[in-house]
Amino acid sequence: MTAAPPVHDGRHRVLAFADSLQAAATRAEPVATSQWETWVTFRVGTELYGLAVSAVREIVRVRTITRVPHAPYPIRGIINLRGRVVPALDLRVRLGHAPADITPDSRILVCHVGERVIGLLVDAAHQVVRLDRQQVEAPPVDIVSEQSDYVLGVYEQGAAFVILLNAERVLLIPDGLVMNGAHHTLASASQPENQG
Amino acid sequence: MGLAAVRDAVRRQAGDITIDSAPGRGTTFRIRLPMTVSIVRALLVRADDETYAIPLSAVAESRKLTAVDGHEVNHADVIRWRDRLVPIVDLGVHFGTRPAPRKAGYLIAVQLGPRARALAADLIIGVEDVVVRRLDPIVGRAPGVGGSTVLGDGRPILILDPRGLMDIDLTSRVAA
Repeated sequence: MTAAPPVHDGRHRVLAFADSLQAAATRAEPVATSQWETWVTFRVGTELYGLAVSAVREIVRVRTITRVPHAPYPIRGIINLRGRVVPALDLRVRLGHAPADITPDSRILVCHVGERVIGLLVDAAHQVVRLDRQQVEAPPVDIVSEQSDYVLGVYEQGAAFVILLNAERVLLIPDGLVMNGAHHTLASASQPENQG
Repeated sequence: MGLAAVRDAVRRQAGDITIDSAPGRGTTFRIRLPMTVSIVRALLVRADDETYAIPLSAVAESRKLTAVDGHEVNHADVIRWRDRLVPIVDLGVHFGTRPAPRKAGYLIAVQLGPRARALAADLIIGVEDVVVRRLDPIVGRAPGVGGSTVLGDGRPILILDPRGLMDIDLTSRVAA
């Protein structure tokens, strides 16, 4: 490899200046246009949560979920999405609740993260809303731990709070939960935890 | 339109498609697909309400499981199968759907080179050609699970991996 020595002539300086202008322009643009964002809201337990609509490809009813042995605890199993086998992650468990029975309201949010397709099991789908980015509040620092770094912020919608989630982070299963899985494979998954 | 749809479908499966065409001589389409998208002839078995597909190439034979089968050698259940002793792997115990090995059902002898295992299950459903679907790594890597497929009725099931079945730690039952 032979790289040409850098040339410090006027032409290069003009090009570099043009590049910097362009970079500044693309940096500035999103701030102005992304004030309104579209989110999908859904219920897990008693709380309302939201995921960016760009991460959710579709919302489907729950049919057969086939158990996968020795899977990390939040993984409920696999589902058939039009011939494609997709893992189903129980969002209740991922968010620290006990797993619950599937009801007629239960839905699976089919999420696309990079090349991967993963289903998120939720208790009920709510609506698609436009939220004002400026009104999103950061969660209080003292209630966010390393385990809950998937919370992007909180949005007040009427009387309800919507907890906005980071799709990528919520789909990462922390090692602690993976280890839990080993104890729950034989025992009933709905057993109360007895932490001493 | 149709050609574009085919190309998209092939690319979604991480394959590629090439076209050679010459006037008056015709056109050759070549579709290359990775091995992960392949069809396997499999024996479908049921154990504790779960259905599993075992690649038929690894299945030596099967027989009914009776109460007198199985001897305990060094805390592992073994069975005399023709002229050799073969360890029994109860699919329910190994995959966590039951605490103790079943006493009735079927044994499926799975062979890979010189190694063999007798898999205990409730029922042999039959032989079917199944399309192998990759499992996302988020579901973990259970020893003995190789992939998944979708049955005709839409149920997703697991395809067992003969090599992984051979590597199951048979002495881990000591603690139980």
